[in-house]
Amino acid sequence: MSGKIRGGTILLIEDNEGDIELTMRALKKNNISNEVVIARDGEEALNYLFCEGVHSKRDPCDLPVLVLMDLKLPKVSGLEVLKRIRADKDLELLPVVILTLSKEESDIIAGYKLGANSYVRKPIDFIEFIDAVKHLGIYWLMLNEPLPRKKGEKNG
Amino acid sequence: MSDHAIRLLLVEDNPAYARLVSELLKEGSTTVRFDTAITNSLASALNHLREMNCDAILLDLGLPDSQGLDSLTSIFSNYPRIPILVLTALEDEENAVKAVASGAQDYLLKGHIEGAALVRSIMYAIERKKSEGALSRVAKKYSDMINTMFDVVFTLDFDGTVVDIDPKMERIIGWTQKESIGKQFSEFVHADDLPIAEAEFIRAIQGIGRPIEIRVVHKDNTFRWVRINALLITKDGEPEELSCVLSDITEKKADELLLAVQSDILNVLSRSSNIDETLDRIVGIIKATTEFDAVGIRLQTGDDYPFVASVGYSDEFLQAENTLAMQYPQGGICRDKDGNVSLECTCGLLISGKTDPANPLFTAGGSAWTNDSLPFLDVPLEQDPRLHPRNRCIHIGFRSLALVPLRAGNKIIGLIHLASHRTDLFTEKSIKFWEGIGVSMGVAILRNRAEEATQEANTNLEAIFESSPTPIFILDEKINVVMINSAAVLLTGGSISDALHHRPGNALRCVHSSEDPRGCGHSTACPFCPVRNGIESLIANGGSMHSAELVMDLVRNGTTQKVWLSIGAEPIHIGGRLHLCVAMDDVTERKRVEEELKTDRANLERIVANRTSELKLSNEELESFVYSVSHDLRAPLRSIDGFSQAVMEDYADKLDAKGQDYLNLIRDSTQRMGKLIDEMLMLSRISRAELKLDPVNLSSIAEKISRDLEGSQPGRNVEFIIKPHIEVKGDRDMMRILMENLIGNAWKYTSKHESARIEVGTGNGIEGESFYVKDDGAGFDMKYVDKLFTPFQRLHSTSEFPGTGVGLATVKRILNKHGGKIWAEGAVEKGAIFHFTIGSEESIHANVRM
Repeated sequence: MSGKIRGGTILLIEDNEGDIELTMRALKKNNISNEVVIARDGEEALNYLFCEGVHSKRDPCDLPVLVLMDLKLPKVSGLEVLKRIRADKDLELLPVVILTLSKEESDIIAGYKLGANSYVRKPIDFIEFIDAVKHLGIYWLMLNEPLPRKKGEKNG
Repeated sequence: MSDHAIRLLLVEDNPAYARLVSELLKEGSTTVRFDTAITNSLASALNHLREMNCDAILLDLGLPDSQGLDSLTSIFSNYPRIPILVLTALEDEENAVKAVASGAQDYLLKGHIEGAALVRSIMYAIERKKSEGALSRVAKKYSDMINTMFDVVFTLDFDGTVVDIDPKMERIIGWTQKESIGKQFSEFVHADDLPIAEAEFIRAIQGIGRPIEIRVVHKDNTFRWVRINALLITKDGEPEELSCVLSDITEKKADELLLAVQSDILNVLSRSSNIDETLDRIVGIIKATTEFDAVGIRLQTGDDYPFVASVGYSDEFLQAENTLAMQYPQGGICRDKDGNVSLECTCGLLISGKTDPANPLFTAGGSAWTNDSLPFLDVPLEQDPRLHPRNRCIHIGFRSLALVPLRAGNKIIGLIHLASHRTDLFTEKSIKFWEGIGVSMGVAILRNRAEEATQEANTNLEAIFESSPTPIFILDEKINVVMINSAAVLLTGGSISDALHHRPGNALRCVHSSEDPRGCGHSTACPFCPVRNGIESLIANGGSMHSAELVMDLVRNGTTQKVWLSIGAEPIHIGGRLHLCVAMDDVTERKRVEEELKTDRANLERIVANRTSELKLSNEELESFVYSVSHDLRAPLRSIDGFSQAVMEDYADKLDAKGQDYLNLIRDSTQRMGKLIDEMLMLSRISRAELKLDPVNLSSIAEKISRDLEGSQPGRNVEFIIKPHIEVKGDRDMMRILMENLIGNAWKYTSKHESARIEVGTGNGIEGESFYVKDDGAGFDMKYVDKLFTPFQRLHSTSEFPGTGVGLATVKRILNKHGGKIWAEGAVEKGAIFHFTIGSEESIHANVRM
């Protein structure tokens, strides 16, 4: 990938180890070298985003530049996490890409209704997956204009 | 002088003279007209007189069939009231006197007659005859008076021989004075009265006679009632003879008789209740006490008026006369425009009330009578006042006939038929008497019939009341039961005496009626009793109740039960007082069944609702099951594929060609499995989905699919021939999936050929309108046609053509849901054609329901 990739954290919310491995591999294959934070279930994801629990020491202003989220998560489901994100004044405009195996219409609709920015289906074919991640990277980390950040100030 | 012509009969055998007389008559007067008939013999003259009325007769004494005064006497004796003027050529004074003495009015000499004098003679003769008639009538009246004023005197000696007798006696007994003297007086006495006469005779000759009333017999066997007073005549103290005075009391006796008849009849009418018996007795009474040969009574029976009582008629007469109905010649009874039976003969006319009192045959009272019926046979039809006369009575020989109506007010319900073979039995006075009897009888019969009808109606009502299966109570104003039918007794569960004269609560054994010793109406619950309130409101305000369903607490078999009653009540009057007729049906059972039904229905609905929610639940469970299964199955597949790829990339230098190969095979398999999972998901979703029927254009779907396919493999040379405007009614998504599968298959199985041709069209076959997708690709062996639509059954290997074997099964499932069918034809390497139909909207809905 040519061009300047934006810096910033990517939050990957995924419970399947294999999928985590594959996603990391795909990112590497595409030379996307942003720091990737992994949350292995919904609760951990929320803790990270709201600076609670094990992440209570985190700087709330330090928001990820992209969230890649699976829907099927233990403890708190992906849609629930999305709802919480969108309900929070500080987090509501966070770019969230749903990355899931489900092709169910109901999930797609629910995702968009709850405010997901994008819904991408994980293909079984790994080659295809690498391609998909490339496109995601180009779009979200290069092309798309992010929300301007106010350093040191908490919104609201 | 009247202006009608004088009808003259000229009996003259000399035609020349006859013409002369006609001329003389015309000449003789301008004011008088003569209508002259000419006959030339006595016989023809008599014939003429029989047919025609005549005001005067001019009679020539010299006729071919009669000489001298014989013609005159012949005509005069038959027609004494027509003035006769005698014409003769002979100048004979003696003859003239004789002629006048024999009844001629005038004697005219032929040859000495001139017109005016002739006319004058004729007119005078007519006038004279008129006054003669008057005079003779007056004379007769006086002579009758004289005869009745003076009694007849006769004398008997002591052995009953007539010694002397008044010539007037001849009128009564028919024997002349000469013939009577010397006869035994007993010979003149009616056999039945002899004992009285003889007894009285003995007393009379002892000087202690009393007047007696007996019948004396006329020479012609008729009798007259007479009153005889016998006086013993003595001469010098010695009994000499019996002097008797006799007066004719026939008229008086007749009156007395009629009065007796009347009294007897009225008695019978007032006493007896059986009408048939009464009429028989009346007929008997009349026959016995009068001189009629036959007495009958016609009485209304249905539409007809047969003889219901009679004596003196033959059986044949009664049989023939038993109907008065007019009949058509071919059979069938005539009816008038109101549908009433038309009645005929004099009886029929009389009963119809159509008698004309102006006609001498009929009276003002509506009776018909005659003292001699024979002349009626000769009356021409136009002049006959009777309606279709049968003349049977006349033919039998009844000469005196009287038909008297039985009247009740304006209604004629029959008649009394009085007949005798003798003439002259009736007088206007006697007819009036019978008319009175007719009225008395009519009224009595009608009243009797009304009573019978009421009786019958009452009996019928009682029968209806008693036989009704619905319990009925009749309550009086005080709400006591005064009448009750058997069904009601059953309802109360007690006996009649338990119910009669009690209030309904007591009768029905309402539990509240035992709460107070005064019974029904006095318990605290009574003001709330719907039955009581309903009934009291009806009695107070009038009106009626219909099918009011009220509940009472009744004691049955020792326990108190709620009994539902369906009550109807109507006010009636008995003896002028207000009563209430209350019908009650025990509908407890029906009510119970209704409740059960309601409960059952509610239960059923609950069960159905439960099942539905259970079903919904299991559907939802299935839904989430399928969802999670597909998700959970896919995840490991990704890992297998991804890490195989990772191995191939990262450890390529450690792997030989075979190793690479194996890893590729692994990757292929996992992808296949992924597709399989997707398609199975789709199949299951289709089965569960509800159809949404819309108009779908298969042509445009096919075209889009063809463009997508061409786009995915632009190198291929494929010709698409798609029939435009293929419109169906179906679920849009499923139709798309269907076409994707069929056209996708066609695309796939032609991929080995250089060029290909794929067709989408419609056909019309046994199944009606059908659609098809046709290709000229690999085709299939028809041997395996049955396997085509079974899931996972493939006819080619995956290396030949990729595929899961689910596509056609999905297509079939979609068509099943649409009430359609699919079938295929093919040959190896010769392509395949897939036909399908889509069911009508109705059949689709039927499917869905199943």
